[in-house]
Amino acid sequence: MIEIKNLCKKFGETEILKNVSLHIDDGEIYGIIGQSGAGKSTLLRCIDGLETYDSGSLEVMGKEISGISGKGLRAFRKQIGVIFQNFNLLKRNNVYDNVALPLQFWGAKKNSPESKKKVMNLLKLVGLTDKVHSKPSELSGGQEQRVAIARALVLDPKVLLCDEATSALDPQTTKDILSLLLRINSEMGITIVIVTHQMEVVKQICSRVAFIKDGRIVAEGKPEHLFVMPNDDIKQFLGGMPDVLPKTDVNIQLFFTDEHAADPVITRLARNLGIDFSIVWGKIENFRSDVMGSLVINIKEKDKNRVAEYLNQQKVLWEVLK
Amino acid sequence: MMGTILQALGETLYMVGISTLLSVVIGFIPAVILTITAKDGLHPNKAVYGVLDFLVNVFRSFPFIILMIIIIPFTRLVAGRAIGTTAAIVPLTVSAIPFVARVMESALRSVDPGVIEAAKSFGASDAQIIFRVYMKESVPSVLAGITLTVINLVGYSAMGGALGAGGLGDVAIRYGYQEYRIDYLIVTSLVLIVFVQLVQYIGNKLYDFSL
Repeated sequence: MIEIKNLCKKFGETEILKNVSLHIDDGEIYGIIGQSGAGKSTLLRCIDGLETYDSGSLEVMGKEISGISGKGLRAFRKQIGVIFQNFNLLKRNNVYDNVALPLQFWGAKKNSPESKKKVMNLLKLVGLTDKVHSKPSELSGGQEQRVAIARALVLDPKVLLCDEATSALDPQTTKDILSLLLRINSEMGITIVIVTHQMEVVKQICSRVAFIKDGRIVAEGKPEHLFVMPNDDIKQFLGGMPDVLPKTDVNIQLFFTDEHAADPVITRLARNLGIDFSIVWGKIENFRSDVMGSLVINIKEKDKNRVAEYLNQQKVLWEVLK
Repeated sequence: MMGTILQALGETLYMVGISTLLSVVIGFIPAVILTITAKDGLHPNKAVYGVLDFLVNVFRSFPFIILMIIIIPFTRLVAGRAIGTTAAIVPLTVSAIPFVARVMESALRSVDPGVIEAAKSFGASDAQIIFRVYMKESVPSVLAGITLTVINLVGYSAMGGALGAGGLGDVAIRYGYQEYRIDYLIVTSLVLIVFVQLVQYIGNKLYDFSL
């Protein structure tokens, strides 16, 4: 669906995107996560042709974006819906008119029976049928974003781009919006690309995620793998391990992913090897439908080799923390 | 006295009304061009913006009374004569156009750039963005700008009296100033005060209503 290869982009002398390559499949929910200023929004804007790039290639649905302009670009954008952090609704239009506006851009009358049906169906999907005549100023942030989602879907796009779409919302509203996006993805088969700095967003709905830092993709994969077994860049982004681990002996971090999440590894480790150790840190997180966890145990130096051997044998992922 | 003042009020309304209408319609064109070619506009163009920006500033720097005299040949060309109420509409309009252009430019540019970007993302054409987004979203600020223009023109029209334009300013100068009729001065001033208050009040109401 979206194929990005060696994409580079400069603003003046500053390199915003450095050799970015990624591949987004049809029908998936793909996350692009990183700190503010990492270049993720620029990348998203490139996908919609709102921003140009200096070198590399960016193909959406088989078309190179830099090769289209004018009418072709307008027709291309029709197939890509976008929602924004600040919703970007027209203040002076009511909810209905906001959702119908893209239809008008494409020649439809806003009150024609087809337009009406389309807009009302979408307002039903986002749960705002009672707010048809409200102005954006009368809505809450979550409701505004729902209107923006309906507006982004009104032209039947193949891809929905979300630019920090939940960053201005409270946690509960964020959750509601995310489950709406999940529904749109599964029911309508729309590919969703989400740019965010919120880990919760990625954890809750993304099937794959790219971690972008200083314009470079430093990690890519399933969120459960990226966040449960973070590399150094991600650790830094997440704020790292709390500084409460014992300074003596050996700290070993175990990762419980997928099939091992439910195994009683710890009690077996103690019983089978006949050793004592302390559990010094742990967390459990939800990723879409999966539960993933990580635990740090503190063992004696002399037990290290036996523990390592046992964990390998049990196919538990682990590493020694320094 | 009342008859004279009523007639003068009619002349002022006529001059201000027509010149507001004309200057808003004509001034909107440079305003739109300035908005489009500005650094953050749809099609940034330093040269076009620079030239237009300069011209607007030049015309705005003329004191009205000087401008009125300088463009007398132009006034004669357009209105057929250089003196009189109708003729005064020409310099009033000319002086208000750059003012309107500036006020409308700032009204249009106050539209949230995010909304413009959203419109682009749905494949809107430039014309659609200008007419359906810029103009629609900026209505409150445009109305505030028109209110400002009307009040400005009321002030200018009083100066027009100096070139025989008629109107309240003319009455104030002829009767009040030249014939030492203090009552004329007071009444014309009161009428102007009430008029300006009324324009501002209506402007504010329209602004609130259009939000």
